[in-house]
Amino acid sequence: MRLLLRSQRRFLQHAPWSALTALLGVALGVASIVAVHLISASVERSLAEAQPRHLAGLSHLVSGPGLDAETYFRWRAAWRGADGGAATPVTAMVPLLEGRVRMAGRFALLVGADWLTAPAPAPAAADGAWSVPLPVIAGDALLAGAALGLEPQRPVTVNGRTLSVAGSVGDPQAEVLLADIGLAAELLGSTDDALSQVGLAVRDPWARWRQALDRLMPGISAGLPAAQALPLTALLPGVDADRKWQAVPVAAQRPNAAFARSVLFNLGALGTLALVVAWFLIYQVAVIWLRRQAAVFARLHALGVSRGELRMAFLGILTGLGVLATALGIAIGWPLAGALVRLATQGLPDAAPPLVLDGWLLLKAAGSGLGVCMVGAVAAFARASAPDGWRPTTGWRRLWPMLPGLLVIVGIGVDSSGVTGAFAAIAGLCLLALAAVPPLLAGLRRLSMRAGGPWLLRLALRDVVWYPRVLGVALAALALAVATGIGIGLMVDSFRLDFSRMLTARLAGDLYVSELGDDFQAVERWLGAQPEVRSLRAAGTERVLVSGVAVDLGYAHFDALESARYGHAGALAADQVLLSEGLARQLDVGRGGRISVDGARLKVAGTFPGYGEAVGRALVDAAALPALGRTLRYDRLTVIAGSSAAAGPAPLGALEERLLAVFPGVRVASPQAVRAQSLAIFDRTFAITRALTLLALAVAAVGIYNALTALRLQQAPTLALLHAQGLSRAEAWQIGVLRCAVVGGAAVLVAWPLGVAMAWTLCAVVNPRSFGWTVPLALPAAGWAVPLLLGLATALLAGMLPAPRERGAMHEAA
Amino acid sequence: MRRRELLAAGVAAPLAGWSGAAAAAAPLRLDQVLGSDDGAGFARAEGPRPFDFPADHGPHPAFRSEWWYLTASLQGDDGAEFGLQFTLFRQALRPVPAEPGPWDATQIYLGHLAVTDVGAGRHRHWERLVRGHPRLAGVTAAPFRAWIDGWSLTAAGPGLERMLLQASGDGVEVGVTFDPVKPLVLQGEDGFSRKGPGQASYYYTLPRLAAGGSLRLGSRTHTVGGTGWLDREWSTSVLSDAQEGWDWFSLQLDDGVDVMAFRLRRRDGVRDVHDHGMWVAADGTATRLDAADYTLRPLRRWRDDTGTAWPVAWQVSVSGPAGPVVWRVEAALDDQRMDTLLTYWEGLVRVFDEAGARIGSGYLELTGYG
Repeated sequence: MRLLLRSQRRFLQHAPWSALTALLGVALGVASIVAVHLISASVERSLAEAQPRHLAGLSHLVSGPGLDAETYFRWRAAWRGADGGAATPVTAMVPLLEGRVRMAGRFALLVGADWLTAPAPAPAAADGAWSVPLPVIAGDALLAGAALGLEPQRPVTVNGRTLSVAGSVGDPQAEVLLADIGLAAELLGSTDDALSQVGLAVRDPWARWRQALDRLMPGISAGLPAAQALPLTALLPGVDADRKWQAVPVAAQRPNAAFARSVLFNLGALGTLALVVAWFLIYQVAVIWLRRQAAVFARLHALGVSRGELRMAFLGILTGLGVLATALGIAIGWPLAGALVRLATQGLPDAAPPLVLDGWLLLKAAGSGLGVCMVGAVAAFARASAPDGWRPTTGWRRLWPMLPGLLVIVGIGVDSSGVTGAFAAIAGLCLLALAAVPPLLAGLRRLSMRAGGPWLLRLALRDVVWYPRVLGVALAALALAVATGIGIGLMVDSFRLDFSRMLTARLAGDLYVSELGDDFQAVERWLGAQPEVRSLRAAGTERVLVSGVAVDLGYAHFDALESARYGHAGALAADQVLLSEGLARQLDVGRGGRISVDGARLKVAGTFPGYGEAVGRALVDAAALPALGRTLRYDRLTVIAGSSAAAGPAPLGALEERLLAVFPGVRVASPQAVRAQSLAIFDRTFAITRALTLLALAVAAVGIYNALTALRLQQAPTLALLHAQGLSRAEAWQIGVLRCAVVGGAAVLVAWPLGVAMAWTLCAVVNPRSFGWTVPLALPAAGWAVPLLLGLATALLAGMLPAPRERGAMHEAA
Repeated sequence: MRRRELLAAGVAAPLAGWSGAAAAAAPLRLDQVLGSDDGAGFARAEGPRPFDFPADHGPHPAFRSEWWYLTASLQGDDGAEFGLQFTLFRQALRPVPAEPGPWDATQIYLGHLAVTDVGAGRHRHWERLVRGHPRLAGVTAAPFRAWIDGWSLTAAGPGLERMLLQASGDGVEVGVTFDPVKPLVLQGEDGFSRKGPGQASYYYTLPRLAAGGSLRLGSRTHTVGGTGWLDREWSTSVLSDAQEGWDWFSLQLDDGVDVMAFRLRRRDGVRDVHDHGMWVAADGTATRLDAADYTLRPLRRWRDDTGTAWPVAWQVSVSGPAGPVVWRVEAALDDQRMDTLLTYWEGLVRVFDEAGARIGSGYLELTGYG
């Protein structure tokens, strides 16, 4: 054993470059795991904190005509009467009352809740972010949505009563006031004990699985089945059976919750991909490290050292390498994650949540760095004793490609398999593509034996295909990373294109004036008298419930021009409604179907994209509102300018200035500003996604470098022979470059179709299932060419980096 | 006295960080939450007052904190030993408004239910936190009824006669009646219980209640009987900065004697002169115990999973009306910690004489540890 240890020490001394690249390879793998985990956890916390505070911890909402305090207390008594509540799946029951109030001359949504009955905060927000201040519980103060711009501890007048603002709530887009239910009832003038909704927290049978999965990769559990709509009697047996109350999932009420869930799952899936690529890389390090020591081990074996002792020595040195690399990887991964999060959140008013290096993450990093090193060492040692070359599949091995095929068919074909099914299909596509790598190399091998052309190219080609075991894993990892880049890139580009089109159609006005509140009529009169203004379009919104789902009912004069903004041809009749795509999917209704609003039946005239909407939207003509028993309360105006006024680099700038001088409280935005802001938010949303893709590519690049280095070492005797035959240094360099080009070419050959298939699945399957909207797949060259070029460049760069010049290793290899 | 005054006074503080926060946040310690005495606008216990029953069995909303505290040592018909605790705290978030609406949140109620199954070595507890509301939580004096979110303590007779406790938790259902065996005892100076230079409460006790009924644990229902203890207390005061917690004993001996004693733990380690207790003879004669009349000395500590060491075995030395006695008081189970909004230890104890013979049972409460 001493001889073995000495030989290992001497190998390290003589091959410092090999040791360093192996160390860096594993460290980078661990770093990517740490960074991805931290980023995902950070995003998960951000999304959790952005949830409406009054819905935190709730899974279902019950609403309907006749819902009042008496009903709530009856349900509560039935719940508590069932073994203290434990005999039912319900764990919390909260009465909610909401309505619109006038606040500082504008309208806002007021939500009252009995905060004492609300469920415990989610673990993700266990830092106290959910705390509700005592004055709010006592009904003396309010919490205000950040979008309202109210300063904490400052008084605010709501429906004529002056109250203080105890703090702000997380969601920066929420124009909502939160209050105790008693105060809300008072402010809303509710005297009949009516309730808007009763929130329920229903025990999640998947809770443990979610926790376990999220420990593995934060956010990935969002792919597990979501809460389903349930009859109340399924939760509280025998209660109000004749009323057929339905408990609707909170996610259905809040499309942004579904959006958050899907973003998390997307991140989780990407993170898992990075994890797998990193494991590949670490394993490959073990394979290559062993290959570099093959000659040493062969001589030691010839000297009488048993294979078991050699295996132990190899395992020992890889374990040491794993310990060092894990520590290094954690040290690199933390700042790397911080930099990526800063990149994605730059310019945002709120700081990103702090990155927490918890015990589980350290265990995961150690398991990946150290564990995979050890397992990889054993596997690589076993593999080294097997004959080289690709073996044709036999027996059950013939069947395994059927599994990914089955995943693809079921995942895409069965709609009810949800987001999990869609990502399973993508995983199946990846496995199919990876399964294609060995036969591809084998095919190239046959081709190389028959192919003509320059002998340097043939030599480079044979270098690659003759040793599939050296390059197979790295090639697969690179192909996977490039394909992911293509898939994500095409999906994001397609989405952005569609989003941009929607903005163009929607932003048909020349100036948008909102937050008018009590000043609406005065502003309308003032604007109508301005010379630049050709016409004005007024709009308002009411919160309604449709089949138990909260809906923002927008209204305006829907003539053909207004309807065209939402992709509908012709004016909207008084009995017609347009639904956002997500809401239509949620209500399971399409064009020609009917929905019931406040007891009136409306015909669905069409759907429109509603990307990222916080609440499902329905649009009706203003003439429909009286029929619904509601009063028109316009709160925003769209200005249509005369043709001369709208021209120029700063259209209507002067009008905007004059308007703000007269009405300083209103909010004015130009279509250009809205468009720029919307696209900036869009780009920021996907910045992390792109960053994770690049990270996977960087990890794959190290893998390719290691693999090419091993190949070069393996080819050293051949090169020495060729040098002796007169091969010039330039020709040797050409062989190296061509070899890299062949590797890169093989990777992109696999990656391109896989990437396009991924993009299609993301656009046509994942998006409708997770967000409720479809995105037409576009194939802009930049979307697929950039990842391909990056993949090729990665291979070329890895090949051009200096090869190790280690006398021991080279000598041994030779 | 009862430390529960301090416990209840502390309810408001965790509410500030509210709502199930205990499930996620670090346990709260009383001395951390009772750091200030902001009782502006509330009535205060400033001296002895005449008690008016049954009205005083009901709530005193002019005071900030109040509780109805029931404990019992029970035996099953098969000899199994159980402990039972039901507590209802009332906490006023602000002085009573002139015209409270139906959803008024001025009064908050916190309920604790705990069952100790000695044979199974298990202590289980549940918690309810709701606003005062006729359908959620409240207390009426005549007839007496205290209720919170499905749990209730209801008197069938006048005053506190024939009280029935009905409560259930996960796999546990309690249906036990309590009937006073001894007359009501006013603690401290005729019911005025002083705890510090500016802290005091109104405090009375029903020291011995005959208990009987049923206790379902899982699928098994036990017929139980035993002895209960009810404390009533209200105040606006809280712990002074010099105090970090208290250790409180209610001991019921087999010979009919009942003893209450507590010690306020000062940060400087000095015995607090406000400590007091009460010796209630078998015939109901009550004798006040001053700090000099008894000592409470911890003998053994149990360390919980957070590392907090709770003194669960004590030597209690009392110079009572019948002369000096020394008892050993030992927890029936070490782990009877209440992991609730406020973390404290409350559990069934056994009383042994100097010869080691068991002579009674009781309840012990420990706060301000950890």
